[in-house]
Amino acid sequence: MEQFITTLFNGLSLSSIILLTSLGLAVTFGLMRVINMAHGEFVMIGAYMTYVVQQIFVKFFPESVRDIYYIVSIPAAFGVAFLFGSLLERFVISRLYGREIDSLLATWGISLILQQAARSIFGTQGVNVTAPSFLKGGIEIGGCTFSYNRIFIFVMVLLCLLMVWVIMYKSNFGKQMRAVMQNRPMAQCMGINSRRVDNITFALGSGLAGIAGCSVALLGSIDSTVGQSYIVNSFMAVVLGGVGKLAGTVLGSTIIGSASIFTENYTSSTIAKAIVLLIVIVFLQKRPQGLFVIKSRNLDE
Amino acid sequence: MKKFSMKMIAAFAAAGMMAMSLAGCGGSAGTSGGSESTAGAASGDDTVKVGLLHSLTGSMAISEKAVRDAEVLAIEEINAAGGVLGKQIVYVEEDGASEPSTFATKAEKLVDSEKVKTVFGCWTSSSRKAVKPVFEDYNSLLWYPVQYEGMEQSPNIVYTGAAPNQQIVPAIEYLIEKGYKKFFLLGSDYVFPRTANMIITAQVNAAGCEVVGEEYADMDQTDFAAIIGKIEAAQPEVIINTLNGTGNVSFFKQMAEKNYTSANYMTMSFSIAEEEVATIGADILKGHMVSWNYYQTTETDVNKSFVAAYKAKFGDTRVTSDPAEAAYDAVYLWKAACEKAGSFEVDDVLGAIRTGEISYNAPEGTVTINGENQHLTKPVRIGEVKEDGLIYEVYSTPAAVDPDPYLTTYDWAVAAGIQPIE
Amino acid sequence: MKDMLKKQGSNICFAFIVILLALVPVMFSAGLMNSSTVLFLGKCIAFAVVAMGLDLIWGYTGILSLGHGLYFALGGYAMAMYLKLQSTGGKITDFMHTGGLEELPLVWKPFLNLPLSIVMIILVPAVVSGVIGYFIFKSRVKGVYFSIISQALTWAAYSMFIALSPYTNGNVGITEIKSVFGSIKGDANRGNMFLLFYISLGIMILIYALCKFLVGRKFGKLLIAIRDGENRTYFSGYRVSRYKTFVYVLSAVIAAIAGAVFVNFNGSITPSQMTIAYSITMVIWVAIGGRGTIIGAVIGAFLINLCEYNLSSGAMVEIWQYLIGALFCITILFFKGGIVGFVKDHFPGDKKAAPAAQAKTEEAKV
Repeated sequence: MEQFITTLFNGLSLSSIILLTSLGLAVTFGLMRVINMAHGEFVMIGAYMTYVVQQIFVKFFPESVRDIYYIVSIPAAFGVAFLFGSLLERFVISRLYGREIDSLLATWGISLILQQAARSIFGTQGVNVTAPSFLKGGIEIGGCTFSYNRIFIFVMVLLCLLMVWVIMYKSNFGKQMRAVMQNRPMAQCMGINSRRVDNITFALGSGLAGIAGCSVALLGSIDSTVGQSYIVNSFMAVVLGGVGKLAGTVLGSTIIGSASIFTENYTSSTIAKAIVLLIVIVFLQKRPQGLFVIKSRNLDE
Repeated sequence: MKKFSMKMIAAFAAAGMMAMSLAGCGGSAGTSGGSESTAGAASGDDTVKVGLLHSLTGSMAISEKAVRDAEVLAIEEINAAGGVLGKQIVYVEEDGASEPSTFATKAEKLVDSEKVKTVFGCWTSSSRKAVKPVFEDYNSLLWYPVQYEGMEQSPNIVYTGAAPNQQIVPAIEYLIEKGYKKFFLLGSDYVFPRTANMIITAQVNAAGCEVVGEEYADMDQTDFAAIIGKIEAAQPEVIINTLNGTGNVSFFKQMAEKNYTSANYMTMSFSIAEEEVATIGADILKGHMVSWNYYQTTETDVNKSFVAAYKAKFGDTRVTSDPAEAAYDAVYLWKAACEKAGSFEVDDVLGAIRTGEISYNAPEGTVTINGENQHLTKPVRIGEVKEDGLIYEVYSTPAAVDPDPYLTTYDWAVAAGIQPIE
Repeated sequence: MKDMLKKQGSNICFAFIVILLALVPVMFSAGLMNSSTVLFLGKCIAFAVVAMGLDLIWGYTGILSLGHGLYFALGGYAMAMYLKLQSTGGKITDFMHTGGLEELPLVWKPFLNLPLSIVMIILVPAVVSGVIGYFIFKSRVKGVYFSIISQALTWAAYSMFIALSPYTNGNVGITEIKSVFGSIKGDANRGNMFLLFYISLGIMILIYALCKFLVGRKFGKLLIAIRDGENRTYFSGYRVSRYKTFVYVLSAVIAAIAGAVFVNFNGSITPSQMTIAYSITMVIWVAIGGRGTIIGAVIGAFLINLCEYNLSSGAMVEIWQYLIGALFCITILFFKGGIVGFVKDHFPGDKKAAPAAQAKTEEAKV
């Protein structure tokens, strides 16, 4: 029983991490159909921002308030990733709309540049972020340990989801965004500044990747290659869930996360990874559009 | 019109970049591509050219940069002190890009096109295995500075890191002596952990102790929850950790978030040096054990000046580590071998090495190249991580240990048949 | 004359490249070139071959595979397994011994003789890509979805190759092998090196001829039709998925042949040849050379590899990734047609092509 609960918790936790890293993709890829291969590097930017904020706190603030660095780093990571995303959209992506595959290749070039930039600025060695004291360790309930950090990530995912949902479905901007994505010329006719909408939407997706970077910073290494380890799973989660549907991404991440943990209990992690990916691929044979399909009469949808 | 001019600028930029790189190509057929860096004078008769071959990009850059830096430091020190046989060392640097076949291509380029006298390079076993035939075919010389899994002995490689019997075997002996009985083997999924664990299993079983689990993590594994679950289920007394690179960071951070410290699960790590302690955090690692031949805290006079010089050149926050020190030694050992041979030619230098008399008073203590297997005789130290992020020696072998890459002098190893067939 | 340039431009260009390459061993004999450069150019020939295969499915048919490293490596492994068994004399290898195997595993048995190995080099990737292609194209997965799936597939295969280390030697791969013609290093083996180089050049010419032959006829027009209007082609009565599967298998086999050539020059094969990064790099060769032209793939493969070979050393090691990244970005942003497209647009002799290319970009924007 204890083991079952632990497995469940681990699965949920991995799912939430995958969800956090793919939420940004659900926006940029799902809504805008832009394949951003540099998405992993935005996660990296977020992780490095956490480090930078921590260094600033260590230098300029008394020890008593140092723990709040982590709280500060979340909006900071979001902001910086948002800014980078906005710049990327303005100078690269905006020239490639309608050329999905070209945007994939161009952003691959960007990801090489960003990785090298990280090495030039922070050195090739990884940097360390110390967990704030309120996230250290875990709480023990009936023989199972639930780490505060993972619970925090879980909460953060829910908040991000809520934020995206509110922006998309409850705000004026969200209405404009959906209008542009569904029918660009019509939206433009209605006086929506579609370039601005594109820019902010893409930046929003990038900002979400930055937040993801904050949370993975506490779980593992922060170095120039950190983004690469998350990117494939994130794309698979979005595709599995069904492109363009938030709920799909949530379900996709949950399936991939839980399946990984569950398979890994019975085999080595390398084989588990292969098995999970193969299962997802086989599933996509059955339902190429993913779990949630946007109904459309368009042949090419 | 505006768009057009933008396009022209881009065209010029792209063309310029290509031209720049292809210019190097024309040169590469000649003596040099104009790519050497030097502390002293340019080409001429008073210089000798060596190659540095490490990954400065890609996933292995995390580890290899420090090794490369130590080599540069040694070269500059030697040059400042008058060079080797009166000649200044010039180094040509190539990026292996964390990709074995790139390593092979670049090794060939260094040895054949650049005509370097020797190469200092590689970190991973896969890169070493990829370049090994190159050095053998061209009869050149590689100095390999990292501890590794053994079971290899190339006439054209000098191994300045530890052989298994200079790191793994003494560490397990130490643990068995301390009364640990249940071992859990955790490693990254590649050749060093797999071979190391094969050796450890044989050794542990021969001592009447038990291996209660063996797990391999994917090279870029980020979530260790399932593996930690398996460790909990196996209830080991000590975890033998051969994870590499980023896996270590994730593993220890995720152990810490389950409230586990060295008091719950002691670990003995073979790939965690001072650099890794800094990225994982001393608060998490304190109390855990590691096994190396050298620590920054090793108390020798040579080490004091080595650490000071390293920090002076690369910054106060940088730490020295065993692989960096082994790389630093490699350059000095090459110098000693050249001086003994009175020549830079590979055959002469190898001849000098095979006398078994090349030694150097290294930061870790005196090291000597074994003339038969071209590994180093070196001291072994078990260390413990302390809160200041440094590693302190808790045990050291009474004398320097002779290298035995195939473990032929260990009865249990011979009995288990772990030596390769050829 | 101008007319001939217009029609035969790419063939003339290819002939020029072939002549240059044919001169390489001559230059080496004359002492103008090092053997390492010759071997490197040999690897580039292999890269050019895989790039041509990619151009067939991407440039012509519009299917972007981010997993051709897998087929490249499958061909490479098949070749390497034969060569490894040659050097061990058919006995089991070190890594099998370490992995606890007592005798040669069944999967290695076919690689004991050369003809069967050559069959395997073609058959294994053909079957793998055939099965994958059949199912994926049947269920009408296309566009970027296909790219993402092919990428995941490559990742899964990469993991499997590492996990099955008693059979594949994990991430070290198969090392210390000679070429089919024996050792190619050193003065004594110069003949072997020349033989290998010219045979590889011959393979490159054959593949080029095959690709040109295919795209020059109705079949090629059909591929373009699939790329530009899959549904229309479908409604015209063509079984699109069969064509797609066929081209996919063909390009996978070409990639495998390239892998086999590569191993001969490289002396080893590792799973890092089947990583996603490696596969994307291959696509970028095609993109920079000029997609949909075959010759562009050849030019791109040589040019980018030469760039990387020369940039990632000496004083440039710290910045070469910036340059390469920027080069990718600039080319894709501003020159959709790559180098070949740029030449076609800006130099007389092919005036008709320019407006056509422009019209295409306009179309894509809508």
